[in-house]
Amino acid sequence: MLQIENLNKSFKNKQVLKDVSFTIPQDGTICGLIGLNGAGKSTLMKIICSLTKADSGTITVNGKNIAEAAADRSVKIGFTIESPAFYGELTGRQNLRLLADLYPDLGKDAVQKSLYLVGLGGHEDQKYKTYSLGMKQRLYIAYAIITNPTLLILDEPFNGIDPVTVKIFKELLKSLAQSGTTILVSSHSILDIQSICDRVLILDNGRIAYDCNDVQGENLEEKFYEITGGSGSAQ
Amino acid sequence: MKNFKSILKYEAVRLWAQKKWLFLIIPVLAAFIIVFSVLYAASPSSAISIPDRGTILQGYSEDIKKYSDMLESYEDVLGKEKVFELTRQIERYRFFLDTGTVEQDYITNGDYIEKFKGYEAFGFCTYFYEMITYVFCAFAFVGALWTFSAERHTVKNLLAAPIKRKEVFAVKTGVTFTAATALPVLSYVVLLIVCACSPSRPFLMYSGGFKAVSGTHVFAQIGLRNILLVALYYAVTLLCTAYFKPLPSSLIPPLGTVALIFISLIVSGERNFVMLGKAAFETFNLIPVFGLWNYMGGFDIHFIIMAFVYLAVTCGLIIWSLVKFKKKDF
Repeated sequence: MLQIENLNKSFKNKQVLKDVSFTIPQDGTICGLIGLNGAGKSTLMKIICSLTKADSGTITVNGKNIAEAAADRSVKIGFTIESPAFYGELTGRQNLRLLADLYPDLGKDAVQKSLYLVGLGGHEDQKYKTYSLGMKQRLYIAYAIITNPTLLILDEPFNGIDPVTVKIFKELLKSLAQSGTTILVSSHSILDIQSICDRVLILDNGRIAYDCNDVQGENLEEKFYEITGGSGSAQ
Repeated sequence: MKNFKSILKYEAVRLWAQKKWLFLIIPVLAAFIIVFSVLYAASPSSAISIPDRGTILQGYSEDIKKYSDMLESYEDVLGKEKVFELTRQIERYRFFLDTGTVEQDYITNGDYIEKFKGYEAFGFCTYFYEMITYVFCAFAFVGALWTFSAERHTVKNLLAAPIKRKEVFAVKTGVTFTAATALPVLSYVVLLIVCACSPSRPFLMYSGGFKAVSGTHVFAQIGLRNILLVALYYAVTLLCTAYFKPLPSSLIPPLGTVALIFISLIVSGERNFVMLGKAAFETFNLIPVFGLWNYMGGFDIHFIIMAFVYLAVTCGLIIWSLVKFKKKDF
């Protein structure tokens, strides 16, 4: 169970997150996070991943502070935040192997398995700098899932990738959720979010403006424009 | 530090993967050595008059006679200061006779090897090391930038792994710090050996009493000072990268250093290289020394204390960077 309570974060004089609280009670849930640019999605995800520190508030997984749980490996967190970043002179496999060696409990076939799961089989020995944007994104997700994580945080994973890869990713996320991985995914594509998520949060100006548990029965796009003040036709 | 080995391996592999950048060091150093050697070889040495031992002795004999005369009438003509100076001059003369060292203007501490042979190796090694320190400083800046700034996004991948932030910082900093100081230390040792193996006359120094200090000894001090400076500049840049956003503000220190190198070479080039005769030497350094200098030569207590102060400041800045890094938002 992921529980976030009263999370606040400011950068200089701008408050980016304002008392953000929500709970994902059940393992295997795919929770979508949507919002305009600058709404605070990436900051929220970075705080969950311990890349950024919150000014106040708590994040717990199964009652335990998330940073401590990640440190003692009682929860395995995988994430992709912002752009993928690997070493251009190394191949996809070498990049993953380099990072996989930092995980003492990882099996020898974990790298290969995760490369195949994201559809990079056959391209693993190409240098990273020759990868297309979509392939780079796949490699980033391959790293995020290499440990078979219990909590997966994906910040705009569908950005810049072709529809076929999007479809592969969606299938992958569904299958990971079925095996018990809790997933928090953000995207600007409301349709993509709606098609895979069990629950959707709309973040507006640093606040959770809407929490939708009946994703399929809701006109999410209309709700989003209503909350954010955008017009559907303009979008 | 249970993850020490695995992070070290990570660093080794990623550095090797970027080896084409590392290998840029070789042409940079080669270009520096060639330019320096050509300018050094072409520098004038004929303008320097080298008095022989007899001339020096003759000059001193006259001095001694003059001072002896002054001593007899010092109460009328000279104050206590003059007597003190006289006493030192006589001591110097006696020391000169005993040891065969050359004179130094111990009052101004200036130009003590300018006119004398026997300091070629010392002059070359010292000047070379003074100048290449600028290059080493530039490398130190790049090394410090390479620790986190250039790695800002890939550091996130490391932080996703089950390792602590302080472990990441310690290893990455250790690797780049070692890389930044390895070349200065290595070349220092080589030049020290060259200096020690070359014929070299000692300097006559005065610090409350006369002493003969070898050129190797003086170079050892200058070189150590420069290594401490390189380490300090590394630490300063590292702290900058901890506070500033990766680009472009963290590029200001290294670009500033490169500018300093060129300014020092171009603006003061004539002054440096005219003086850079095969038996002449004048130090010129744009790098602030901040008290880490001992005109009396050698490792006296003042120098040793200052060296420890430098080390302490360097360590302090690195620890400060660690504290900042532990709280840093990525």
